[in-house]
Amino acid sequence: MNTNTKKEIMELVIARLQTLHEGKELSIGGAGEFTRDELIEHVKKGDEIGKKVIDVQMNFLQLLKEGIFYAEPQSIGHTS
Amino acid sequence: MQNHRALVTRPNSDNTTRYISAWAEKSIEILKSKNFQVLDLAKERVSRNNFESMIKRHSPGFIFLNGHGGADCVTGQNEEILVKMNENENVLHGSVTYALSCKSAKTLGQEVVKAGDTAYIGYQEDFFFFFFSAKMARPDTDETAGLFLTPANQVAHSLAKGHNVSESCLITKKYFYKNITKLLTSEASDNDREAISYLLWDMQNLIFHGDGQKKIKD
Repeated sequence: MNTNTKKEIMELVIARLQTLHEGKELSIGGAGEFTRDELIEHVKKGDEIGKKVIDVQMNFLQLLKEGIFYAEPQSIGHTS
Repeated sequence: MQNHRALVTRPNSDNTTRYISAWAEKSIEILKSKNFQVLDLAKERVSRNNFESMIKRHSPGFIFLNGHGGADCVTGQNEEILVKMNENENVLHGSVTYALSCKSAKTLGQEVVKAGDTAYIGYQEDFFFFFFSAKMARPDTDETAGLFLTPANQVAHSLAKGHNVSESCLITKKYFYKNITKLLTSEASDNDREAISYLLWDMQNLIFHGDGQKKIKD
């Protein structure tokens, strides 16, 4: 992934995070709980928390591309 | 014949565990209504010693772990390790385990079921949920958290009602999906819609290992 694409993804994720209500927090298990502004900071820094948030957003965009909302739940994800 | 005993761990040493443990109370009620004897290991009592001795003494057919986790472990109060691969995963043998924690289905779950006659349900990546910090005093009234934690508790509800492991996972995925489609309607705000990508993530990463036909109730 080139630098421009990375920057565009980061900007997209930040734009989505900015719509979050101020009083809302995101629990990321043992990593802790994060407010909107904290999440934005982590994404900007590109640290582990920021990467997790970007992964979720990229996964969502990929699923949208694959037509997630026309699929059955059992076909999404994995079963052993 | 199943023994109809369930062990539920509910630590509360940080905001995340406080939330998931509060929402697990509903699962306890449902298990009790289905005539399960519920061993509720909560707060400071969620230690490795208590956990192991409860299992040894009561041999619960269902173990519902609420806590933090990693690929090879699940923790209790103050993140004390309750079960860890290559240390004591044998305590879960012969049971159906559901871990509402991050990542433990990735490695621990796979290892546990090698013994046979065992099933492990969990998440293979981080489990995310949104909550309103203003609701911290009453986490069970937080509708935003409920979007995530109601479906997440559906695994226990479905098992208690007599569905097998495979069916319970599917019913739970459908519940996540129902909440996602609800958020896609025009009444949902942009703010609420932000939950969709995280709900999808949790739904995708819910998996089971082992005997999918296993039940905790005849």
